[in-house]
Amino acid sequence: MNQENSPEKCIQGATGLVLNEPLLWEKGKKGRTGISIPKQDVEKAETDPNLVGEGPDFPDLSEVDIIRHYTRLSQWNYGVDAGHVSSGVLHHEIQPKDK
Amino acid sequence: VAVQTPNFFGVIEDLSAVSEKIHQAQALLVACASEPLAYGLYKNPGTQGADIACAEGQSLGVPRSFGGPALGMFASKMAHVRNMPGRLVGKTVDMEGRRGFVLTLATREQHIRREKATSNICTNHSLCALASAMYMASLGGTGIRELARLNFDKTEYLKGQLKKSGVKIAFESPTFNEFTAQFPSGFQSVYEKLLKRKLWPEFLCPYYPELPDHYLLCVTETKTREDLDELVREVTT
Repeated sequence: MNQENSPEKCIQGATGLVLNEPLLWEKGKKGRTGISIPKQDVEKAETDPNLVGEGPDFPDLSEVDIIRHYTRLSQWNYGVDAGHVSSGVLHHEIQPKDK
Repeated sequence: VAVQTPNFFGVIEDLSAVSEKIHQAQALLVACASEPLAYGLYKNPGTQGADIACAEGQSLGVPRSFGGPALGMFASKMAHVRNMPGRLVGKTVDMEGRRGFVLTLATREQHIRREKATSNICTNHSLCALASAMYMASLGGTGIRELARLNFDKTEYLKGQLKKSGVKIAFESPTFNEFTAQFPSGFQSVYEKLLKRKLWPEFLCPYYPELPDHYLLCVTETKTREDLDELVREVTT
């Protein structure tokens, strides 16, 4: 075993949480959408220009952008399956794994 | 002063106009919505002077579940955040300058205020909020606009078709995806027939006895032009 791979040098897993996933606003591209919106089968109606706004500031993402983002976040979740969790006052009765 | 828009009858209220009057009286404007998708198309409450905005979040990706768990949406101007129930997460940096998020304000939460708490957030709320966040991410800015537009256009289509068939539209003000129609007296029997076919306008009489034969109709993206034509045929023959 060379020096690089020695047990002292090799990091088996990061301790704590490493949250360096970009925000959804920093991903995606204008025009993408993650859901299939039903087709427009009626005529466009007239709107009142005084009432119409710009809509919310949401990023445009594809389905796979979203799946990867949330899957990545879920893998950083720390719970009883990843390590010790001390019993809280509310939920201590439902942690059989930690006993 | 709490103002609901779209209101009970589906009508869009002029928040800017009421905001001026409410603020002149040194009061706060609380804007509420049961259909937040309306703001994919219409101006949001904040730009129209609301101090606090809240909405029912169920239509953003949460199943109906017999009326079961859903989520509320809540926003306020910075001046009122210390009185806000719930928890606010803030963005910050760690000692090495890396971005991180942390529970910043929870001044009214159960574990901070005990007997003075005004909120009690549990695991299930987070689950509904997460599902809703994913739904909103799936829609995106372009998608939410398109969906809101589709809801509006289909509703206007049904409104137009009913008008052509002689049904009276109760309020002429702009609506989003709900509107109130006044059917001819004796419509009750047609209504019961519709219920059996699971076409379901809401009968408003129990809530407003002064509005007999008024029904609330709602059209979303799930209804096709054929569905709407069928409803018009059913109610006018």
